[in-house]
Amino acid sequence: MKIKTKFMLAGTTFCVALSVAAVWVDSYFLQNIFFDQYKEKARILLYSMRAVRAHTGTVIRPKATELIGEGFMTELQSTSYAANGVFAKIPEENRYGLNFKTASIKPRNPGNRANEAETELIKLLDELHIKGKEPVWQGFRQLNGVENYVIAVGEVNKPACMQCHGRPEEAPEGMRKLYPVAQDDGYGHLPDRVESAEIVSIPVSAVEASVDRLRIYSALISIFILTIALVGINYFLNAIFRPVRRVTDVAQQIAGGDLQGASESLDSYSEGGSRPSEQVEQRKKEPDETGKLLNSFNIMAHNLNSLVGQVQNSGIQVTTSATEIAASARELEATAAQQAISLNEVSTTSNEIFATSQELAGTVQQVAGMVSGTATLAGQGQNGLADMEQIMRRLVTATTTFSARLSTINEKANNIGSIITTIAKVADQTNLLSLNAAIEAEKAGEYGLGFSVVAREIRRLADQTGVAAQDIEHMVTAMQSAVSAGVMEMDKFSEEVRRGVEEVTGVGGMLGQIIAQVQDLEPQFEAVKVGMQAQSAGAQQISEAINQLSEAAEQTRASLQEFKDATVQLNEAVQGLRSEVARFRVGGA
Amino acid sequence: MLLLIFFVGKERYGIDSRKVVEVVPVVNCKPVPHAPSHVAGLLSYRGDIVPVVDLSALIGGAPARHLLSTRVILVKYVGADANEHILGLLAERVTETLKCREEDFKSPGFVASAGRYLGDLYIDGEGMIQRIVVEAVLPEELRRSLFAEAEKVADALSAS
Repeated sequence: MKIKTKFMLAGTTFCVALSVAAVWVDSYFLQNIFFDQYKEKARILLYSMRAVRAHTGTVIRPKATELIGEGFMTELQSTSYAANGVFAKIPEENRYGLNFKTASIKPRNPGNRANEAETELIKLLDELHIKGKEPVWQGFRQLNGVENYVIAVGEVNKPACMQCHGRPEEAPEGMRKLYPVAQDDGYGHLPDRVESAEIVSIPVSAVEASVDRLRIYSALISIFILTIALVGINYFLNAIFRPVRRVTDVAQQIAGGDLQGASESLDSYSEGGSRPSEQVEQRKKEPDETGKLLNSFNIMAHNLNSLVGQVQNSGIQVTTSATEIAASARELEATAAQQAISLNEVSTTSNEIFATSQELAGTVQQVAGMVSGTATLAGQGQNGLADMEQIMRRLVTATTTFSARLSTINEKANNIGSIITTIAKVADQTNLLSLNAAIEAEKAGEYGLGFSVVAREIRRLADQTGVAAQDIEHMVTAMQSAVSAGVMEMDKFSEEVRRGVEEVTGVGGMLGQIIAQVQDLEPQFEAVKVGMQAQSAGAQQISEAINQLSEAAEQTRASLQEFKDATVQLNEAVQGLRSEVARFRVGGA
Repeated sequence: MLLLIFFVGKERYGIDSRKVVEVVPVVNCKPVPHAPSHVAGLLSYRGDIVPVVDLSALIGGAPARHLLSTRVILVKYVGADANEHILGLLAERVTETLKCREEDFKSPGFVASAGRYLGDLYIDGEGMIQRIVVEAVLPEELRRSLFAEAEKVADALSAS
């Protein structure tokens, strides 16, 4: 809610409350004053009416009694009549709502008969008189069901009065004629008592209506004054708050970051426009508080504009720098990581080299040992080969001899074969002969029987011989083929043995070369071993150095990580600053 | 009765020994031109020209192999001119004889027209032996031509 509105609301509330209080107090006092006035009026009327009655009773009635004598003339002699008449002659608009009545509980005039409330009032006055007090009563009272202000004065029955109102027999003749005792209530008054009273009354409602009217006037006047006051307040508030609102608008623009708009607004207030410029000029001439405020705002906006511009530029630069730094840090980190990896690899490799060279040294030593063993074995092998060569040469000789023997066996077998063939032929011939003999013996009949037996026996022997010869022939043939196979095998064997001898000779030569080379190798192996050990030591040193380097690289990487984190934080901070500053719209500063 | 046994393949055949003149080793026969394949040729026997029939070729269809036991069986028979002639029968494995009785021979019950020289059957513990009818080995026409040839050869020999 605007301050002006608050001011307006507060002023209005205050004024209205003040007005209401004023009207209330006013009406209270007015009511009292009115009532006092009405009481005064009622008193005046009452005492006027009593004066009329007194005048009539003391001046007019004795004169009239002198003039008319015995008779009674109401118009001249009745005090109440005179009073009623005078009151009736008062114009209605000048009565101010007041009523006057000469009430009596024993009236001669029926119009004056007291009603119930008046009778009570008269009794009250009578009691006051009896108690020795003035028979006067004033106050609020119900009359005919309506609240009234009443002032009443009781009429004490004096001896003069008692002439006409006392006992009827003491009344004048004319009176008795005029008001016959039987029909009239005006007789029988008791001496020194109050039996009638002059009553002036006015309904409270009438008074209040007047008061209300007055209140309405008062309220209208209050509203009028209030309106004028509010218009005045509004004018003054405007005079105060218009520049404040402008400053507020500018401040809102600044708060919203629109520094350019704020600057333009301030410029338009100070340069453009007719009324503001006049005001500003006026303020420049004679600067009041708002003028000073506007000037200060203008200066502040310009300063802020340039400052924010600078901050934005700086922020951009810082962001760029931070981004570059971050990128560099990342690159550096990547490089460091790669370096670490490379170092690890190198370390691993050097370790492997170390291990391998150690293994190799061991292996070389083993190989050296094996080479020595090989040389020895080769020497032994050469000797063995020489022996073997000798043996093989002997074997070749033996094989040749064996071949020759086999050939001889073959020839012998051939001889046996021819003999066997001869035997077989002989057996065949014998068989043939025995067949023919058997046939001839058959032809000879009984004479040839014995011969037939001989022939059969011969044929059996021939058959057995043939079979045996055949067996021998088979055996010889088998032996011959075996011998020829053996000869061929032996030839092949002797050939192989010859080749074996050549190979053994070659191998022996090669073994000699090997032995020589191996013997040459031994000192070289020693050199290799020494070199290997040196390499192993070097590899170990490299590995240690690399390990140190790797630790250093790891530390570098950790430092870089911290640096990168710092850069990221810086970047975030700058981003935050930039996003904050970006809310400001900056003019061409 | 003595039966001279020979083989054609794995089958045994027999010839009555009373018809056999002599069993001789195989010698080179003179071939007879234009003769059937089972005619092995002509043979000289004690001045006589003897035609030789290869029984292996005749019965088994394959010429007899030259083994030691392959021999020529010289048989005698009476020709159409009522003269006695000698015929050579070339056969394999001619090394055994068998003693048997005439009553034990049984007819085979079936004789092909070209195989009239195959006679009765004899059964021993090793199977059946078929007897060769020597007179029916050579058909008449062949016999005549063969013996004519033999006479011509004999004339040529006597002339020289």
